[in-house]
Amino acid sequence: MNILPILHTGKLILITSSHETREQITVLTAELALRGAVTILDGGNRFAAYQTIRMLRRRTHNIEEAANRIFVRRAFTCYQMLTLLENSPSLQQPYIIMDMFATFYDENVQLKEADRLLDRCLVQLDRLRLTGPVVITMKPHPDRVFLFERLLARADHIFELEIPYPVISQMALF
Amino acid sequence: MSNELHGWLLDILPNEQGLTIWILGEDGKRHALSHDFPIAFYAAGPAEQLRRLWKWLQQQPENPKLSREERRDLFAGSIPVLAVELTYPSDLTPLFNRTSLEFPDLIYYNADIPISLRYTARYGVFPLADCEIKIDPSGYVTDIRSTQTAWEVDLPLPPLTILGLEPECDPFHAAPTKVFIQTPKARFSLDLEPARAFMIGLRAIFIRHDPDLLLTAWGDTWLLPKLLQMSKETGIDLPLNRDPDQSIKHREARTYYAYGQVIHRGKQVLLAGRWHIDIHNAVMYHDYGLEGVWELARVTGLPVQTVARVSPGTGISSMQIVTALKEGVLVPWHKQQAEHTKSIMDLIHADMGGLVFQPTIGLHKDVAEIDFISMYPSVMARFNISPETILPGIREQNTDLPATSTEQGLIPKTLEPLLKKRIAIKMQLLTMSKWDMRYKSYKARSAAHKWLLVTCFGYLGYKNARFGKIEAHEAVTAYGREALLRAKEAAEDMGFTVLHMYVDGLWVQKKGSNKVQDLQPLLDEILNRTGLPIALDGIYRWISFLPSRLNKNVPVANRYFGVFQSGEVKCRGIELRRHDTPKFISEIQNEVLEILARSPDVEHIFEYLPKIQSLIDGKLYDLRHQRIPLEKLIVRQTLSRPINEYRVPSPAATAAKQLEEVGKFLRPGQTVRFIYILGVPGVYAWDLEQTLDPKTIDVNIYKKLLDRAMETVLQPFVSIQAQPFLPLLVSGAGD
Repeated sequence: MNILPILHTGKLILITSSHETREQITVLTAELALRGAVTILDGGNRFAAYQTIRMLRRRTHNIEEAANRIFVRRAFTCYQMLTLLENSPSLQQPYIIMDMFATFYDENVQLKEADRLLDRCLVQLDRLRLTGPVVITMKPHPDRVFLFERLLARADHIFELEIPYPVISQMALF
Repeated sequence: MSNELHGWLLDILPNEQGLTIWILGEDGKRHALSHDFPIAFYAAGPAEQLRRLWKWLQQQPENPKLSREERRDLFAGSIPVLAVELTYPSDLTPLFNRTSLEFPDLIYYNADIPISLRYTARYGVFPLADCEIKIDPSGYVTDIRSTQTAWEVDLPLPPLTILGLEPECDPFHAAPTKVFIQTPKARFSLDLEPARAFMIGLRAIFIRHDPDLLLTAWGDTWLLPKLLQMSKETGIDLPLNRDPDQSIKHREARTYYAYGQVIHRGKQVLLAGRWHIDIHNAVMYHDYGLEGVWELARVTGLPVQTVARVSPGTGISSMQIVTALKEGVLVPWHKQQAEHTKSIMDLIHADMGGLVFQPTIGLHKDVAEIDFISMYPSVMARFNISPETILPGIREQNTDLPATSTEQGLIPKTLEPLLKKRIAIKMQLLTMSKWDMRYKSYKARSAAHKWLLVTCFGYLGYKNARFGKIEAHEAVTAYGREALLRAKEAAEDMGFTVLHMYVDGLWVQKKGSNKVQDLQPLLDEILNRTGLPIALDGIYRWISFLPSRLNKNVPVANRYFGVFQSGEVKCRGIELRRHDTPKFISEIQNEVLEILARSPDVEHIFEYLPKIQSLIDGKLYDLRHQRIPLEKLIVRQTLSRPINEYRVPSPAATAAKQLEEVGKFLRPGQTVRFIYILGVPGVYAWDLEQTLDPKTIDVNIYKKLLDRAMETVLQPFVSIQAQPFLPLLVSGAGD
C-alpha cells in the first residue's frame, strides 16, 4: 500500500481492515515525518511510538529532528475524539486519525448518540482536509456498520487491507 | 415545635415527594422520615441554545425552577450555566433524559449523581453515621447533622440485625432442596418443598427479625428471584422490602472490560429500607467482608448495598464527586477534555509506567523489603497531582518532572483524609496483637482503603472517569519513578545492595543489617529524599528470586518466595497465587513452603528436603489411588470471550460448551470449573449434573502441574544440595 502519491490537500483517505493496520501506519508516519510535520489523532491508544522511531532510524541519521515533527494526541472516549478534532488547528500538513471509531464502539454509547457525534466529527474532517490531507484508519464493527458507511461516502480514496493468509503447506502424513 | 431523634443513618431513597430517610434510632426502632430535597442539574453552551433550552424547559410538566448562574468547571474555571432546579429528586432523571435528547449538543453537569452523594455533600452525613435529626410535627426532617466524620478511626457500628439465607449448594451446580437460615441467635434450615410451608416459615422469620441486612449466598442470581417467584405462585407475600412505598429494584447482568480483563457482574436484586448483599456478587467480599463494606459506605457515601456491588473505582469516583459538590465544582456528565499535543519523543518519555529493576536471580539471605506506603496516592497528595493542576508541557526546573499549580487539586483534596486514616490504621496494626478484638476489623478496613487508593491512580487515566486526565496519570508514574530512583540512591549511598525494585518497593541487603533498627536510618533517609512515607515490610531470613521458565538466565520481576524472620512466608507470581491452580496443587505448594520456613536459616534447608520428598510421594500416591476429593482437582478459569469466538477450543471453552449443551449458559467474564479427565475431550465441566467417576481423572496432567509447582519452590534448594560448598552458593550478606 503506497498512498504517498495521492496524499494531497483536500483528500480524505480511508484505510479499512478487519485486522491491525498499525504496521502500515507506522511506515506512513515515518515517511511523512521525513518530509515535514504530521499529526496523529489516536482513537485506539495503539500508536506504536517505538516502532516509528525504529523505522525513522532506518531512513535517516537525523532521527530526533524527524521524530520532533511527529505529534500525537489520544482520545479515550468518542467525546474526546470529537474534542480532539474540534481543537485541532487547520494546518498545512497531514493528519492521520488512527482507529477513529474505536471509541464509538463503546456499548455504553447509544447508536443515536454515536451517529450525532459522527455528524460533528465529519464537519471537522471537512475543515481539516481543506488545508492538508487526512488519512483515517478504521476497523468496521458489525453492529455499527452505519459509521463505516457514512465515512465511506465521504472518502476520496478507500483502501481495504486484506488479511494475510498463512502459507499453505502440505501436512506430513506421519 | 420540632422533635429530635438520635440514631444511625441507614438509607436515603427518593420518593414522589422528596426523600425517605431511614434511621435506626437509639430507641432500637427503624424510622422512615421525609425530607424535602430540591436538586439541580446544569447546562452550558452557546447562549442561543441555552435560551432555546430555557423556553423548552418552561413547558415541561416537572415545572423546574430556572436561573442563570456562574459555576466552576474544573478545567474551564467559572462559566455561565443554566441551572435547572427540581423540587422532587425523582423528577430529575426523566426530565434530564428528555432534555439531553432534545438538546444533545449542550454540555451537562450534575446530571447523574446518586442521591446519596448529593445528600452526603450537603449535610455531611454518610451511611451508618451517628446523626442528630430535627423533625417538624408533620414528620419532615428540618435538619440533620452527624456527630462523627467518616475519617475517625474508631466508628462504632450501629446494632444492626442481620439475617443470613444460603441454599445448601451452588444453584448453578445442582438444584438446592433447602435453604440455611442464620438469625442473630440460631442457624437452621428450611426445605424448599412444599413451597407453601417454606414461604409461611420464611415470612414468619422475616416479620419476627425484620432484618436491616439480608446477607445471602447467590441471592442476586438465584435465591431472591426464586423467592419472588414462589411468593407469586403461592400467593404468600414475603416482606423483602421494608419500605412499602418502594418496589424491589432489579439490575441486569453485564459483562465489561476493565483492569485489562473481562469482568462479569451477575444480575442484582436491591431492596428498599433494608439492604441485600449477595456474598457471591459482592466485589472483593472475600478480601474484606462486611467490615470492609461498612467502611466503604462510610468513606464513599454510597448506599451499603450499592457499595458492596460496585468496583473500588466507582467508590473513589464517588468520593471525588462528593469533594467536587462540597467545593462547588461542576460534575461533568461526559468528560470532554482531550490530551494535549505531544511530540513522539514526549510521548515516549511520558508514557512509561512504573519503574522495575530486575531481580538478581537466586537465593539471598537477610534481605529487607521496604515499600512506599500507598505510593501513587501519596505522590498525588504530596505533589498536588490532579487533572486540573498539571501544567501541560511545563516541567519542574530542578527535577524535570511535570510541573503542577500551587492551589490544592480536587484529587489530593479527596485523597488526603483517606490516606491519613489508612496510615493511622496501619500504624495501629503494627503494634496491635492479632488477638485484639479490633484486629480483624482494622485489617478489613485497611484492605478496603487499599483498593480505593490503588484504583485512584488508575482512574486518573480511565476513559470514563469524571475527573481523569491522561497527563495527570502519566505525571504520577513519573514522580513514582523518580522516588524509587532516589530511594535506590539512598540505599546504595548507605552501603546497601539493591537486589530488586518493583514500582513502589525495594529489596535491599547489607552485611550486618538484619534487625529492624538497622533499617531505620535508611527509611529516614528515603523519607528525607523523597518526601514520601516508606515502611519496612519485613526482613527475610531468605528469599529466592525466580528466573523465567523459558530461560533460566532471565530474571522475572515480582516472582519470588521467601521467609520473614517471623517465620511468615511471602510469595508472589507462583502457582499458589494463581486463581486457576487447583487446590490440590496450591495446598501442596503451600505445605512445602511451610516446611521450608521451619528451617532456622538457609544453610539448614537441605535437612528438610527428605520431609518434602515424602510429602510429595504421599500426595502422588493419594492422587493415583483416587483419594483426593474431586473438589480439590477443580480448575477455575474465566471466559474471556463468547464460546463461539474461541478459534482453538481451550479446556475452559470446551467445558463451557458442555454446560451449554445441558442448558447452563456462561457469559464472558464468568468462571468455568472443570476437571482434567482421560480421553476426548479431556475435560469435564464440574457443573454438569452427573457424578464424575474418579477413575477417569487424568492423573498425568495433575502430576505435571504438581511437578511444575514443586520445581518452582524446590529448584533453588535442590541445586544447592547438589553442591558441596553450600555457603559459597548462597548469596549471603556481604559475600
